[in-house]
Amino acid sequence: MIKTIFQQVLKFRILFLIAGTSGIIVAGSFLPTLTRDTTSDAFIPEDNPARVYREQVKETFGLADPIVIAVFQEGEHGVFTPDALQLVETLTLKLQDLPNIDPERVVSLATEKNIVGREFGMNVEPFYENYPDTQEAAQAIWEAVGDFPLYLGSLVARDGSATLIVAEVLNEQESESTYAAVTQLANQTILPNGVSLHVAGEASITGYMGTYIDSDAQKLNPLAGVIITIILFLAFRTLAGALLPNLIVVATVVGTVGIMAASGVSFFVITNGMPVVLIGIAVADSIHIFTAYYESLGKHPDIENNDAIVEAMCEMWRPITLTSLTTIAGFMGMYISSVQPPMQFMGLFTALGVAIAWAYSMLFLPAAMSLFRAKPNSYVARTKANDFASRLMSRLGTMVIKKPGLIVYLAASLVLAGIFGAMNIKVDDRRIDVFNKKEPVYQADKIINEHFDGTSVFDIVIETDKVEGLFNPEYLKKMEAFQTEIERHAIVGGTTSIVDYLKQMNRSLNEGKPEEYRLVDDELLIAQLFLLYTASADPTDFEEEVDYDYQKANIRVGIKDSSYRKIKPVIAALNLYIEETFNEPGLKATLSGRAMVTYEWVDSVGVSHFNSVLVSLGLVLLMACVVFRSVVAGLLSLAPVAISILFVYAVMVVFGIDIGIGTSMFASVAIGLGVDFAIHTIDRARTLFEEGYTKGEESRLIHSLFPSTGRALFFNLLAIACGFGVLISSDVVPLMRFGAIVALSVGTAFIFSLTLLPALIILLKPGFIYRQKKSDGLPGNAVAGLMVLASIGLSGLSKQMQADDLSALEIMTRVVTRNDGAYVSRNLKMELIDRRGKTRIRETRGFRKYFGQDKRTVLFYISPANVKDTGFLTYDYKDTNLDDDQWLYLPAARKIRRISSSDRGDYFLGTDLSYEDIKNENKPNLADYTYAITGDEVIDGVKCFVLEATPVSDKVARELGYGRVVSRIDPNIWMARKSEFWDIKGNPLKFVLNKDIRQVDGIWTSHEIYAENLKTGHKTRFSFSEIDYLTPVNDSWFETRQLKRGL
Amino acid sequence: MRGFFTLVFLFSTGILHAGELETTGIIATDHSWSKDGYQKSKFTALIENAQNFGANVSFTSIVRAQFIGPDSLEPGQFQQPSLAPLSRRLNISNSLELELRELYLDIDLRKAHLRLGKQQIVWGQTDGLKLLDLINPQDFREFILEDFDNSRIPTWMVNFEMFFDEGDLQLLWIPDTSMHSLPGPGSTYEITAPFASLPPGAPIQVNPVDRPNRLIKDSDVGLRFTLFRAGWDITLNYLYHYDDFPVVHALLQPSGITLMPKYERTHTFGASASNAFGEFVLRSEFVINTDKYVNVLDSPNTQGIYKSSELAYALGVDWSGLTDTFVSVQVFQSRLLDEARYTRDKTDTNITLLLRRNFLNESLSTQILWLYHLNKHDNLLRIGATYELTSTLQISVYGDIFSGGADELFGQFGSRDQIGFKLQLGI
Repeated sequence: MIKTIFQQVLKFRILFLIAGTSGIIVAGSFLPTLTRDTTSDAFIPEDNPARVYREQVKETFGLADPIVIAVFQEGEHGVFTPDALQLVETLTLKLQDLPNIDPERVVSLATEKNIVGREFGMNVEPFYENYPDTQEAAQAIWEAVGDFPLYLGSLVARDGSATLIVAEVLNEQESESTYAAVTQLANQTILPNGVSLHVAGEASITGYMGTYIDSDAQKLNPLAGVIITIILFLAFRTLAGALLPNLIVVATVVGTVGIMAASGVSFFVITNGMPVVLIGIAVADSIHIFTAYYESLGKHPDIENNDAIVEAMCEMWRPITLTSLTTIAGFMGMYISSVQPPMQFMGLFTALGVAIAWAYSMLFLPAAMSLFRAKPNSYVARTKANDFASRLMSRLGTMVIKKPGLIVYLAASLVLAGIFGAMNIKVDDRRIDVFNKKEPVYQADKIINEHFDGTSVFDIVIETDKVEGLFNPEYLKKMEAFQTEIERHAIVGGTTSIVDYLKQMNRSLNEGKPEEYRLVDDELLIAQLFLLYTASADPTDFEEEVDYDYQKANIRVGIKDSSYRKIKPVIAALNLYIEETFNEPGLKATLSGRAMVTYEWVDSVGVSHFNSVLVSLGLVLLMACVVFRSVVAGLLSLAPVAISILFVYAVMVVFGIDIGIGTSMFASVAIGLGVDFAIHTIDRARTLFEEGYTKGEESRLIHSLFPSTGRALFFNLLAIACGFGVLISSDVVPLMRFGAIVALSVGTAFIFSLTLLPALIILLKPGFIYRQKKSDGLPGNAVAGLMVLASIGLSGLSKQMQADDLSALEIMTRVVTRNDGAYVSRNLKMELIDRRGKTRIRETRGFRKYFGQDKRTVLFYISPANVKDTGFLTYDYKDTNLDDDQWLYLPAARKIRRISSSDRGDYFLGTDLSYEDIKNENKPNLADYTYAITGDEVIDGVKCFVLEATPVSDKVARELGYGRVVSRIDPNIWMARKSEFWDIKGNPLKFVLNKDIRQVDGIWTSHEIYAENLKTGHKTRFSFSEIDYLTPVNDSWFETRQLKRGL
Repeated sequence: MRGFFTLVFLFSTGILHAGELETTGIIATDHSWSKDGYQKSKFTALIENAQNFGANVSFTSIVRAQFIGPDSLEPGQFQQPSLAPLSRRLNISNSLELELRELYLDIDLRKAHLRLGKQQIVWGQTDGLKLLDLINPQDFREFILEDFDNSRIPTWMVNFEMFFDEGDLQLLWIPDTSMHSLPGPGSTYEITAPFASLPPGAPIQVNPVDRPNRLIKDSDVGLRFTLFRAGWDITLNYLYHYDDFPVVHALLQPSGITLMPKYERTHTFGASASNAFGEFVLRSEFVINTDKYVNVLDSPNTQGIYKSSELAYALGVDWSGLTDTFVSVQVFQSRLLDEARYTRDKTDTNITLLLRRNFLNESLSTQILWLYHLNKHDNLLRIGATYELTSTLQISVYGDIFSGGADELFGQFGSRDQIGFKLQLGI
């Protein structure tokens, strides 16, 4: 069956090659539509409350992610020199002209205003009121700024050495080009002596990340390709062996990314890791196929190329399919359990990519291989026993066989270390850490954090319940106290709010006395201060701090270090403070801002990681249990990969690596890839047992497993490890860590798959390894079968003479009165085989019992799961005037359904036997037919009567669906061995064979019924087992209520 | 709750005990699109464990994990207010949930049978719509599109059956006061019709529904007698229970209208009968509800509610005269027996038509189900085909089309028409 498939693939290879190539082209045509999303918001689901709230806050206060240019100058005056201040103005003006920069929202010393006291009140005037063309003017600005605490730390460094130009972008999606334009502006500006510029800010990070990733990918992917080609060449030393796997790689990567583009999913920062993962997987499939192919060529030097390919495919389709399934399960685990959309898509599309790699390896690769000339690979054949890889593997094998206990002990120790690691591992990440420390944007971020209040911000939103609620002095005092409280935390650089403006205004009204830098205690006065300000300046100046109605205010908190671990206690403390202080009716405070969103998603990374480990392990375990049909096998497959993950945790703790964006994905990937080694090992061990090794020969078996499978797995590991190893050279730090950790864990999984697994097989001798494909071919059964056959033959000879002169009706009477037991219980396996050989299997358990002349039959489905617990009950009345009563229990509906019994000719639940055939069990209703003997025929070595049965009327013929039936009746046992059926128009319809007829408890019983429909080509095979005529069958089995309850 | 769940899960997956354990499972994925684009993706893993302790005692558990995306069937962390706490699902995230579907102990006592625990019990014979099938409440997050087996909410109960020569008697005690689960505002299948219209402009306050939760006093009690006579399958049923839909009382006050959903009790007397006649099968169900609370117009004194008796019945005829083909027609009718100005019609009639045809030895099954509400002419057409790729793997495609006025039961989902496909793998 499998062989036929691959033969067909080779026969129609051109079709497969064209289809495969078209697939690549079609998917490739979508590539240009691929969009990139490097915003950190991409990591947070759109409906996440923190994100939703932040969007609202951005809306209310008109906040957007900024690009920041920091202007530094060394020297005693810092940036307060005419040159530097003029530069600030020039840059400000130029920035305002750049596309995607909101010209209204460029903030610098050149745009900001000072609040000063005048004789008749206060005045709001630009800092550059007196243009700083002299050092005195510059010095005056420094003094003005120094006198206005609000700007210190946020706009100007407290030591005066630097100042910021903060520009907000209009569309965050276009940050990339904007960042490029700003850096270009910074680079082209001619700088005065001692002045330096640094470009940073949230929008810069977002913007630069795009370029950063592009250049990284351009470097990484070709490098991975080259390295893998080298490995392939080392493994096979042929053109086909080095080239074709690369084609599969191209198909897989282009196909997957193309489908991603077609379905409108963006390329995220971490998606960069996906092509490399896919390359590793696609190549692994090819390596195993090529190894089998060259081995086959080596074993049979005269073999045709195509036959060798088919042989290789027949050997490898199974393990490759199994590993693909488990890998898909692993990545689906990541998809299901991740909270962040980029990870979800990474899981989903990598799973898809694995499926594509599988399809191309199964269909395209053999077709493409057949184009090359068959050339026995002397390299693989000759060096199989003694090349480096084989020798290494053999040595490993010897060690395992000698000291299995030691290996298990080592593994157990690692598990303990790993558990310790898992318990101590920390969750943390910062967006800036995506960049290499040498990158200008990283440096800029660092420098600005050193001199200013911090590049990351919290926004704390204070809401009152009525318009102008913020004029309430009590509320403002609470805000002031809150700001003082916040500033106590070490990572907080400073805070800004409307309170600071009010204080400054009050001070200016009181002749600039420092002690008047305070909140006034009068609601009216506060309202007047705001009025005064708006009278002399632009009312939108406070847009970032307070809303239009003076109902909501925003406290901006600068954070110097946005790492999760640092923020977490601060957030907890702030929330506690809010709970205790902002709890009166009409006043509310809520945390928001970039830092809060970062906190939320890193928080979810941790939970998500451990969830995804469990879900992936669970899914892979389930899949492994299913494919090996054994829980023990499933657990064994999982052991190496579980240990490898624990080991990685331990390593991470030792090297102080945290679970972050990049590292959190490692486990799902490692599980999906790492389990493949175990699956190959177990599958190979089972095959070897089937090929002749027996229980007790485990050591020998393990030894022979290493040079071939071990060698293939070794190159498989090399391909994957190098694929991920390439990521180590990535400039994107999370990818680099991800690559290193996956390479480590896959390597560990490989080692344990080839050491611990064989060791456990040797020590535990698990049963599934020896389990043969279900067959009754044991010697004892064979002898018994032969004896039965012989006795049939002998008794047949003696009875032949007596039967010769019976009439047809007499023969049929003997058939229908044949003893078939007062009751019987048995298992029935139904195989439904369609024209193309596709087989569906149903397993059932059934009971039959005579109640006087009436007969009751019940059948319960045991498997597969989708029909499990389906029940079918029939009451067949001797009185032919009574319709049979039939019920069907459908578990999905949980209802017992009365079903019509008139259509005796309908096919029974998808089989090729009719309801009538099933009910009668080879004992037709004599009233339905007239019979005639038409001769004799030898069937299965027995001379049988040939009886032709014709329905008594057209009506009966229509009911039965048969126009004519010819049966071969065995006169020794009065059972039909073969029956042919014609439809009512006289066309051949089907034939039914009763095979494997043996006595059970003294009753002749057919153990196999084979039916083939000649019109549709569909076939049915019924196999009976555990037939028991002796144990009484309880009446209650034939009650409808039992149908519902099942077995 | 979470701890309890984990314990049950561990227990039921057989980790805490060994023995004759049989585990089966289903993994399924279901995706659909509406005309607005992508509507849902559902990934389901269902594990059933059955363990026999000797011949007469067995223990069964069914656990289901489901991932539903996007999170629009029950947006956010759905609190499941209408369910008893022990019957609620565990929401791991907005989209991922874990649910203990069933957990029961069977004890076979020869002439009697006891099933204790969380379970589903189905009374009645009808398809597509429910009449006597009222033991378990239903989850309406996918309206009535999800299979009843999956949307029925299993409840904790004692199910005791006794077998006599004349027939079987079933006694039910259901202390679990879970009610129908209706999806919240903004969900895909939020039910907004048919409801009585309120005076426009009046401020409306909706009080939270008060779910009965007293263990003994609020429990449901049921009784069923089943017999088989002269080819007829007959049941007589009685259930004293809370109607699983809340009754919305409207309190008119000067300040506005207060809506107070409340659950009300009723006695339900029912019967069902079915038999086969040649190619035809006749199925029927009859129900009398003594206390049906119905919304009425202009009745401020009774808070917009009138208590009536209700007679409901269903008649169905199945025909399987043609090979591989199944045709079924059903009529459902509900009549309110008392006179009042009801917001609904006094007599309400639904008709269903089911056509099913199998091909390729039943590996391909196609089906059309049409549910038609005769009073308002709104209807739901469901078309589907299922193909068995292997013994264990099935693929289905389906389409659901709602038609009718936006204020009608089916018509309100006019924009939710969907096409989709399902893959189901049995393990």
